[in-house]
Amino acid sequence: MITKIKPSVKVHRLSTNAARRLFDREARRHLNMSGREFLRRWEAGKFNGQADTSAVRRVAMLLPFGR
Amino acid sequence: MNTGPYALVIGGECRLKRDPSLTLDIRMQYKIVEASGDRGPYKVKITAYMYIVEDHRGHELFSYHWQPDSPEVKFPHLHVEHPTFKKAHFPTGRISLEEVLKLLITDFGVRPLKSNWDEILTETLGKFSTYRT
Repeated sequence: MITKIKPSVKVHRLSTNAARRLFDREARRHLNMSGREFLRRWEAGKFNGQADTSAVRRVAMLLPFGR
Repeated sequence: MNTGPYALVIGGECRLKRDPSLTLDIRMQYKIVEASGDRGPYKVKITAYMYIVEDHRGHELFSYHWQPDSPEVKFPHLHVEHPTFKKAHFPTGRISLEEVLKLLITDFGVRPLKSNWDEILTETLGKFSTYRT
């Protein structure tokens, strides 16, 4: 869905599937793993001690898209 | 109502008007919370952010982070990509997007799209300062 706010600004609201695809793409791009694998590792605490890397942080910011 | 958290990506990776260009990657998380007064009955509450500035080759220069749900660094901080202090977390207050945009225009020579950019950013920054919780 696209909502026009101002002539030069568009907000793209992602469907659940589109959001998951974006999350998966970012996980593969930054960490070479699927979004599902990132989510599994994150929730198991497997990133503890390395969560503060730029790549992990960038994907973690998109967790609401992956869940 | 689903109050979130939601994720927000602004502009994908925005290529800024500058020679050589810079890229700004903006990622935020927010919730919808109840509010009273003139902001009510609901408002958006930012719960995490990343503002990442990269050079034209895609190398990160610096980034502002605040991710209180992180298992490690929970306070707002600045990363500067320099070999001497690459792992340092320089403490900051909570940084607004407007502050980052002002910094890029005034100190990094990014060319704004609008001539009244300062007025616009000052106005929205004032709202952020008034209503942040």
